[in-house]
Amino acid sequence: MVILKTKGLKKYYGQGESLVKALDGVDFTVEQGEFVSIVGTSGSGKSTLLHMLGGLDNPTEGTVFVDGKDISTLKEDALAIFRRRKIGFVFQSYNLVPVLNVYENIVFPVQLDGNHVDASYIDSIVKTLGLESKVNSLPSQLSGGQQQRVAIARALAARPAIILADEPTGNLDSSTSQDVLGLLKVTARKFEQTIVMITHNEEIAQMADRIIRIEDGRITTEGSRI
Amino acid sequence: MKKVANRKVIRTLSYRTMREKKWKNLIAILAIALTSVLFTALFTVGGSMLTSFQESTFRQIGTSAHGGYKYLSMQEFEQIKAAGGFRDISCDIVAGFACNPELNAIQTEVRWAQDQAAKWSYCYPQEGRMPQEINECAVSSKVLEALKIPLAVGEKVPLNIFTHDENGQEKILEEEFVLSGFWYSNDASHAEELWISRSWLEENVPLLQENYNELAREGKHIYADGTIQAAVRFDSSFDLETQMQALTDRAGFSEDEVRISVNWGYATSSVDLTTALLGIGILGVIILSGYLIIYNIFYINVTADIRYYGLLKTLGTTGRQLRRMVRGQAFLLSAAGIPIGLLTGWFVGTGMLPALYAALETGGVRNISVNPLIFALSAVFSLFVVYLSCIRPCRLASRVSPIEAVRYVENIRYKKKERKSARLSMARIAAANMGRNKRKTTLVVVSLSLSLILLNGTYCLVRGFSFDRYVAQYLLKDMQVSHFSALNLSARERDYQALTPQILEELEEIPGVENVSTVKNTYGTMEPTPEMLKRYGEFYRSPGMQNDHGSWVSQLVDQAQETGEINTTNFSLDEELLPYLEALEGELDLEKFSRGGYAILISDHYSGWAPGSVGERVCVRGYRRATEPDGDPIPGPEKELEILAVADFPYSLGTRSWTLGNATLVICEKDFQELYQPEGALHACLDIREGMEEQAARAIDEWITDRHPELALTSKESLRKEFAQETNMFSVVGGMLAFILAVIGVLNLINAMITGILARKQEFAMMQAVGMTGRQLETMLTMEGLWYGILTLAVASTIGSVISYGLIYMLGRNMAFFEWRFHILPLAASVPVLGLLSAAIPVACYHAFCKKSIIERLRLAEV
Repeated sequence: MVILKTKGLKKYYGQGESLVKALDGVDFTVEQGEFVSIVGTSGSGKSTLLHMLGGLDNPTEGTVFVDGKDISTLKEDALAIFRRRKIGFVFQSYNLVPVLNVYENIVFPVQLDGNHVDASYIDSIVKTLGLESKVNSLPSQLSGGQQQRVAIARALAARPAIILADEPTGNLDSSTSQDVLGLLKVTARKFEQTIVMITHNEEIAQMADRIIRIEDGRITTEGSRI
Repeated sequence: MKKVANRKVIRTLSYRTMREKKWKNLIAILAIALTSVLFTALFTVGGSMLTSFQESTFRQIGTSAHGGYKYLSMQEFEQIKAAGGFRDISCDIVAGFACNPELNAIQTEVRWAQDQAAKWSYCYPQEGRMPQEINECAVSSKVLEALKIPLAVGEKVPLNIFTHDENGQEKILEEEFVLSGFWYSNDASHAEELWISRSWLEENVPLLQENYNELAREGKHIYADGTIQAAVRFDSSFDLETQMQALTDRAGFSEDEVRISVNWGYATSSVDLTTALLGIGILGVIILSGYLIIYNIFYINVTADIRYYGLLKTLGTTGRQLRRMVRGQAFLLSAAGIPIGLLTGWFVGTGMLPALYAALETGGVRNISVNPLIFALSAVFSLFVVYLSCIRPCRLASRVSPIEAVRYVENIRYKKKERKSARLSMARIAAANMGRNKRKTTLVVVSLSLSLILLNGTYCLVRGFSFDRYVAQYLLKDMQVSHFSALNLSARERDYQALTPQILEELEEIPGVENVSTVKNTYGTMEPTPEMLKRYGEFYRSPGMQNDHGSWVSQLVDQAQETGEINTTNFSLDEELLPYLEALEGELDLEKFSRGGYAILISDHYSGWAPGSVGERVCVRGYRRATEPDGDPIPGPEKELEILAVADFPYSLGTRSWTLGNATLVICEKDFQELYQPEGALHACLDIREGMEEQAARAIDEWITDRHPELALTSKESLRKEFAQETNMFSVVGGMLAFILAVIGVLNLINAMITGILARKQEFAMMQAVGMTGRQLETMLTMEGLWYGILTLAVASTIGSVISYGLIYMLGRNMAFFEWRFHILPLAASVPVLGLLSAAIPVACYHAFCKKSIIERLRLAEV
């Protein structure tokens, strides 16, 4: 089943001389339960692509379908609601809410939606990510790796359609990176989640089921599906 | 240490850094400008009031010159002029008095004057000019009005001038002058001037040729006509007595040759202690509130830029350089803010003046000062506050650790490392956010509370003024008639026996007046018992008295012990008024008292102390008024009196003044008459027939204006006006201060919200990225604003009430007509305002600062 699909996706910034084609016609699909990594050099357009997929920005042209719904035309508040229901974000710089404790950070998107928290589900995420002893801690008390695990837990909490990870290991040392990514992969599989991860790190990218390479706003090679 | 020429790069850095932050700069400039507005307004008001008070004194004295000489001949004047050593000298020559019957009540002096002398005496024509032609004159509006001549240049002025001819014979010249100019009289002045031309003077008045004092000693020339009055101004008004003496010596005069006068207006301070304390208090509040807001802004700005400072430090900038950078920015911002503040503040100050002048007695003098000192002082104080405000932010910037700065998260020091999870609500996140920077939250809450505390305090104070109590203090019966000097401490000539039997008779005949009872007053001496004298010495030699009054009290005691006599202030009250005495010791047996031979000793109003006690006997000696104007009082008969009781004397029946060291006695009418033979009474207390109050008041007012302008009527109506004036000043000043503080508080709130939002831009972007809607974010910010409001109200109503109670108690304690009542109305009324502001400001700030898309804001995090 196709969970994510883009069609002729274009994003231009500026005008005339200074026109930048960040994305210049991107078409690809992601199946449910897939772990896809998008690789590209700095400025290749991979971050822009992720923003389009996550509904953080509207494309200049083209469409993005998530779970069968066209999100490219949604208004800002509708996009916010879409994000908290369908997208789980994992950022490079963890981005936890400093005044909320670990548990509250994890359930933040669920509660923003006013939904009841599925305690046993959250518990199992917390356990899988090894955060049981930290649920009452505040972010400032955690290490980088621990913070990123909380961010992963938060991304999973709302049972989104896709998890979008933007250089999730960018701020971590290599052994922690391996650990965190291993956990991401294991958890995603366990909870049947789809992951789209962007990175410029080949080694990290290799952990995905499929690698999509992007250059100058276009897809150059698309790895085979396993 | 090697000196490195690095100032330039720091300055460039400082300037460039600042240029990047337009919004923050604007807020900082606004805060600095506001602080300097407050200072300038205060100094403008203070300076203007001071000059007005001083001018009012000078107008009473009749001149603003530093000193002068009276009764000079022309040759003597030239001699003084030649002596030099002063800044300016000017003179006038007395011609005589205007003696038109219409001017009976107005002392009108006819003189020729140089322009400067006329200006110094506040009698320079405001319309037209000084007289030049022989038939011209210039005079005050008061004289023209009395003569029923229209206030217009060119009008004819018929005058009878009383003067002396060359033989010293009195003569009256009847002349008709043409009005060349006039000026508007001031209430403060005691005599009116009428200027005539030099040519008229020379034609009609023989000038003094010899030394006046010598002639006067021989009884030849004992009038002022034809004499020159010289007025002098020195470079400084310091120790004028010595300066005048030196000038006299330089001119070669001996002490008894010339009559020196020194302007005492320069020696007395024109500000009383309460006013000075009020001024200092306001200055303190401004410094504090200015500090609060400027400090807050710099502190938050430095916090927001802490990573940047960390980076600079990593690159090798020293702490000292960072400190200089921050301070440099502050002073650059001051350069923009202070001039704006000075200008605005002056206008604000002059805007406040009319209300203040209406509330204060300045004898109609209403100056608006543009003294450069006002601006200089304001600028210095503003810079001082900016400097103070910079100290901590500078330290913060200079001590930043380059490694930590990169990870610096707005000063979070959680005591708890953990917190139990709770259900998410925007109010709870908002509350948690308030705790992130406790210092900032405290500052905003304190500055907002200050305004509310002051508002509530002012309200309590003003509402606490009880008109009934005020009336009770100044009026025992329905109305009271007194000589103006009995009510006014600043009166120059006192007459405590002005209400003669004839005046009292006239008063009784006024329709509506049912009964007149009087209070009589004189000074005298008494011979106390040796024990009393001892106690007297002990009391006045006590350290407290010495502290308050200096060596003066020792002299008093020495004198009393030497002569065996104490000065007394004596009162006699009509029968109806005696019950108003309040016995503190002994019994007020009024029947026994009126039989004679008794005295009621009045205790000291402040300490309750009295030199004697019941049963002691004193010998009282009466003095009568001297028969000659300046003669010594004549000793009268003696009488031994027994102290019947010690009592408290009602304020309204007294003289408003109190002579240090005097014993105050109330003596029965018979004895009083025998001892002192007073010419008249001090106060006449009137009972008015019911329903005729208005009519009687009008009739008495008319009677006073027409026949006895020296008298004054105290009625409920006249007191109501005074009461309003006294209380209005507090409302105006308090309300103004509360308003200013409210502006500061709101600016602080805006500043805290803006900086809070700027610092958390990325955090907000992240929260929105994981699905927070814009509306939810707004709700959260509104909640934060409301928390500020709630905390402010909590502080203002608890600690604030205690503080305002303390302050008001201190202020009101000295006012007999103040009654403490607790009011919460202003606080309650401020709830919706505060609620609206605290809810609206955050949302407005959010919209102003979070226009950029989520990604752009998120990206900031990656930089």
